[in-house]
Amino acid sequence: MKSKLGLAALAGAILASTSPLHAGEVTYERLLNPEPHNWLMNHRDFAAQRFSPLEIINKSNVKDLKLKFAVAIGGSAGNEALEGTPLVEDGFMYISDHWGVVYKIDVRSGMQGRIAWKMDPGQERLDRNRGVALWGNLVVSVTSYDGRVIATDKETGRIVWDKNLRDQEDLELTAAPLALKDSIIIGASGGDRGLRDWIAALDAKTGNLLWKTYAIPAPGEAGSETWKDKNNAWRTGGGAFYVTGSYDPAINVTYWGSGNPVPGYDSSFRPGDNLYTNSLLAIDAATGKFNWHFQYTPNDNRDYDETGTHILIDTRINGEARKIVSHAGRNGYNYVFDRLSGQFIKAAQHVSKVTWTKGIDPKTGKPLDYDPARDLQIYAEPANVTDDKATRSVCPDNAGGTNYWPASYSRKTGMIYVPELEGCANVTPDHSAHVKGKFAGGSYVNPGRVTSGVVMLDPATSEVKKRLDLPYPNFSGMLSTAGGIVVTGLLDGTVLALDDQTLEELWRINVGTGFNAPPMTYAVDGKQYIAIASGLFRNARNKLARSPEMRGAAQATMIWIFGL
Amino acid sequence: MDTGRTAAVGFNAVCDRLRFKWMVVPLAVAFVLVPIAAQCADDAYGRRLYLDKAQCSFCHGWAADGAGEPQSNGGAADLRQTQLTRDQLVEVILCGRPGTPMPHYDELAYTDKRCYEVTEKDIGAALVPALPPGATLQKREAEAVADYLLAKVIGRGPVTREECEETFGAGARSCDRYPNK
Repeated sequence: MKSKLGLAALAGAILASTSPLHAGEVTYERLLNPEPHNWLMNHRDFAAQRFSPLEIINKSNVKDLKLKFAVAIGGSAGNEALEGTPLVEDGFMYISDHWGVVYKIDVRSGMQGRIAWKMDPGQERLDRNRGVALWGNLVVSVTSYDGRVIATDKETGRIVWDKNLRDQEDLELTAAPLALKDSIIIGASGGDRGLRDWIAALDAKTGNLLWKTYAIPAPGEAGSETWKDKNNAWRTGGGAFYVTGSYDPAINVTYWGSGNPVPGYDSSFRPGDNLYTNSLLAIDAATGKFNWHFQYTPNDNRDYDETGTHILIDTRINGEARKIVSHAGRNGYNYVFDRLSGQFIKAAQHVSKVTWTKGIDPKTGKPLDYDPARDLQIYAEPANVTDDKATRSVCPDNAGGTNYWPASYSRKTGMIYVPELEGCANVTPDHSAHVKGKFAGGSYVNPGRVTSGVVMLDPATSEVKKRLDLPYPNFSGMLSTAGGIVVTGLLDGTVLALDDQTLEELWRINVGTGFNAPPMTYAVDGKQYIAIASGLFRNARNKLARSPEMRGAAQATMIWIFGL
Repeated sequence: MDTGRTAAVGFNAVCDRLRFKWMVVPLAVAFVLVPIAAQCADDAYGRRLYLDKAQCSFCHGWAADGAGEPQSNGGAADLRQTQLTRDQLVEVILCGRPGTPMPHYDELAYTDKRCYEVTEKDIGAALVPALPPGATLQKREAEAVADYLLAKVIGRGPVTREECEETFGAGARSCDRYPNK
């Protein structure tokens, strides 16, 4: 009897593991209202809040969180890393590695992750890849330097369409695609090597291009008057999109942040404000037109990209219902705008130390020392800041006060949690470094240790409520949940769960390999899990250069899954 | 005519032939080819270290022309034009360059006077080159990287498509920009 039951159980298990890997189609309705147990898109929802309504893991039990299982992916080269957020739909996880390989992983058992299929696009060079999108029965992914966008059948792992969008040398596609009703929005990057980045929409069914809008206007187009050089700098002006945007379905507008002007450290090559770099762009998802824009740091020469997440929040400001968009800036400030009109509402400093400006003008949102009459901005830096070989110290450092690692907005507390970075860099412009392949316009070194913090701020008042200082840089990002916890990872391999009101540490583990990918959460069969991918890209490892105790640290590309 | 480059390309061709025809060469010829084969193997080893273990390419670029990843510190030397000797290359690899982002691959550098006859105490922590990001090299490995650079990179002139395809494979899109010769 006992053995019969055992056999039946075994047969059941085999059946479960060999039966067709069914999951529903990811419809627009599901993307609009994702089931609580699932994480169907990069930032979890169109508002890019990275807030999960799950509360099975909560403040009182998170101390019992344990490693349940781990899955190794990638790992075919010594310098690999992982930067993607895993997506989970009904017990199946989807993630990409830095070869552009997409994985479907069966995590239903809660005891192990079995790779159901792999789609290897044969990407020719290793590069960053920040995850995939689900649409219908497709998993949509990008292949960095190859410039391809690929739709893979979610059930079979076979390629359905494969489109080449590489229109310039050195173009990179690293942001996770954004799936809308009928289209897939793709951001292009690679601008730091001297190209003109763009954002595009593809027909989700066929992959055909619907529209493509460049970040840098061509001569004669609106904004081109802000490129006052004689170098044709608009052709190589950058303005990268490497973090997935947010989307307001009510008005069909997608919000993306753009990257720095190029050459990044040499503004003398490109006098003028350099629109639409370092900007928040409210983009009509039907046409690709910019409805409105706001430029954070005009004529930047510190690499203050603003491609990081732009979180959509419906809140009350001074008693009035407002639809806002909030952005934690690489330049050290958190900005809040009316997302319908583009009106600047307020900014607040989220890092401890800012030296490049005296502050943000509360009326205009521009840096207080921004001088519209100047072609080359100095801000609060030394007057020779644009001179060749003139080294100066600047804070936040070139990686910024935060970056591609996302903040989170908790619908439970009404607070934003910013994973900020604390450090300064010595930046040296090099006026000869603007030739193909060497387009940085200079170089930097971090003379001291780089650390980080978690900053809790109220988007309605732009007030910093609490700050928790942490000893290692944060390149991971934040997750907040209805269970009252916020979760993040650090470059030293620590995962932390904090109280969402006090920022008190509730749980931690160190897995011995660093994190530059964001944490997420999902549930299967009533059990909640927290997942995060590990393995540091070189630029993240560089930020440990002044943490001598991390001298011997090695990296492993793994997905770690924690549960109660 | 860039004789350095021609010599390097000629050497590659010999290496390629060796790879495919080793099995059929007469014994006498084999004696002549053994040292050349050893040299090819060393280059391949040094290249592997350059690209993978030491990740020199992150800052110096895969072609060592100084065109590294934009996320690197920037300002890395164009090694195709370097004047450094083999000994100097090995020294810079193991000791880094104080005051610049060039890291030291000898884990014990600056703990004693092995590098430029100074210790961390002598020059101060801020001037000591950064830690190697994740990998260290032993002297034998640093020599292999230097030998690879000397054989395949230094003085080779502008990057060619052929050279790019040696790294990224025939028909690689990354190689579109480079001239055939």
